[in-house]
Amino acid sequence: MRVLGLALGDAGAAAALVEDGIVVAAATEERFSRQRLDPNYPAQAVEFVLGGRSPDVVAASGEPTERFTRVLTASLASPFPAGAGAFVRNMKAWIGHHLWTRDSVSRRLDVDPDRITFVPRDRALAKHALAAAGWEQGTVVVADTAGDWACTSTLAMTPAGLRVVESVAYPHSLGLFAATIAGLLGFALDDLERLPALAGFGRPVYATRMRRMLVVATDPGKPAYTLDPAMFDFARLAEWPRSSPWTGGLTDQLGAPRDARRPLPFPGPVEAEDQRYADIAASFVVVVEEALTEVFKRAATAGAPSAGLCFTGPVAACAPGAARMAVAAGFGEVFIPDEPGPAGGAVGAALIVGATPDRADSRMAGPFLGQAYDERADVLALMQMDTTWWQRWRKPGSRPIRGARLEFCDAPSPAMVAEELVAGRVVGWCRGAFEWGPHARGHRSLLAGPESAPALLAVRGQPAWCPVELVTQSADPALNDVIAAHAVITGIVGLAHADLCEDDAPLVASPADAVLLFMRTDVDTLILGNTLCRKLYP
Amino acid sequence: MSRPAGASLRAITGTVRDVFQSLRQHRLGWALPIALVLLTLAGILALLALVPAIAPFIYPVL
Repeated sequence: MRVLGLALGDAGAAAALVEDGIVVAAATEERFSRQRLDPNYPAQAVEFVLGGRSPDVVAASGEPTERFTRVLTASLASPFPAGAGAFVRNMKAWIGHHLWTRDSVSRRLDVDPDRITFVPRDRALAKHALAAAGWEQGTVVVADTAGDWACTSTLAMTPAGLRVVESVAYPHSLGLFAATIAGLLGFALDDLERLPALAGFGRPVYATRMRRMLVVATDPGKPAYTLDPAMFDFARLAEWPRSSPWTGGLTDQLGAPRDARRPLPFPGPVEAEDQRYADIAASFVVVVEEALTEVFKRAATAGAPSAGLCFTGPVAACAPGAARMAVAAGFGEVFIPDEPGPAGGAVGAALIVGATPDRADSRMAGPFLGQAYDERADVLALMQMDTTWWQRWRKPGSRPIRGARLEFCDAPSPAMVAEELVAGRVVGWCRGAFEWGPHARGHRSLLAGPESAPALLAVRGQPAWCPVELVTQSADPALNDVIAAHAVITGIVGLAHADLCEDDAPLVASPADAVLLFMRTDVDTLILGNTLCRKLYP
Repeated sequence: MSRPAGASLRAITGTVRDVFQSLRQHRLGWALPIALVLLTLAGILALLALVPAIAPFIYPVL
């Protein structure tokens, strides 16, 4: 059976194809549209995953009618007159468009509406996490923004199936709390990864005040945590940035919001106001991790026969200490999928609907489920390009390349790539199918030697959270060989690694995107498939 | 696979039924009249939008 999975109506629309219980292809729309966290219908992603075939059934993550009832009641509860605009905007969006998803998807795909199934979002995200981990049993914690009604769910996967053990309902959402703080700090509401990146420069001096907003309950009879409703008005998220999801109570505690147009000076010298933003981010990370600790403690008694925990949902992207806390709560193994955001629901929904009695276990064959390209035309275009013409494409402040030459060589060996890195060059590497998740795992990577890490971060732009990643021979032999060759020369086992993209752009998809990035930024060497292209400066 | 005749009407009525079920399931029966009014209004506007002479005045509202 061929199942098309969709994640719709939220940041990060995606499509996935599952054939006979196996994930064949998956992609987020942002890779094709080049609009970060593109929430529009994933037309290009659907076209890629289907590849001209027709789906037998369609599975979508999230239930539109459940979400509509949540939005309707939240909009009605929003104080008048401030909430009147949010009510009108929400109802126009939902009654005018989102509510009729079954009909609109049916029209777009030319399928019978009865063949479209909506899967609760927490179950879809949980199933995706388990498949990515390759586990048949285990406990899953889904920390969502606001999916259907459930915001934070604990699910147990047992031989009897996937069941919800505990759930914290809207409006008590860690994800919406994170979105509110992100908005207060001048970031996009769904760009939660900026919070741990900024937190690294601050101290948790606002943690006590934030604990009054996010109250953790240790009593098992109560939800694991609650949000103070006097501080938030999430119905107004629909009007962002004209209206804010926080109330005056929150700004009384944390101060005025940051002007998003003003760049953050970190890691350089900072003013007191900039330091306040970093301190708020650091405090946020502390209190969210405290709430998650309580959730994990309760999840440890969820009754799943396995000692493993999958942690997923958008909050997983802004809780860097979550894995450590889960281990402290009693889990022997912790897994966070490459794509913890709503897009993962596309894979999970398709796996749930496509499950057959003889194939209940479902796995993903690694992270490289995106489109593969033939890069020869792009290499040819690059070879014929006039380097003086490049200057008009260059990012302001980047190193001048006037008079530069390009050097090409075929089939670069790991030793050759390692020599580039030892020479202090920033290397962009684009090969094979792109990663399905939002981050590079080796096929769309920026690499630099440890001493050149600042140059690599300069290419990326704003502060980015770069967690430690383990590369193994089985997961990615080519990247593993480069690390080994680099270690032979320098004695250092490890490289600085980041996503092959600019600060606010999604990860590169096609070789043409990589060439444009190479032209615009201070990436010194670009490897496209079997071709190495090196900038030579005057 | 292709859409059978009347698929849209079936999908829309099914969605309206699901909305009412969801409200009852979450003990939000008090919101049923509001939902009914909103959905009826949306239906009237959608029908008006099908009339070429009136449509230009309806689309800005939608």
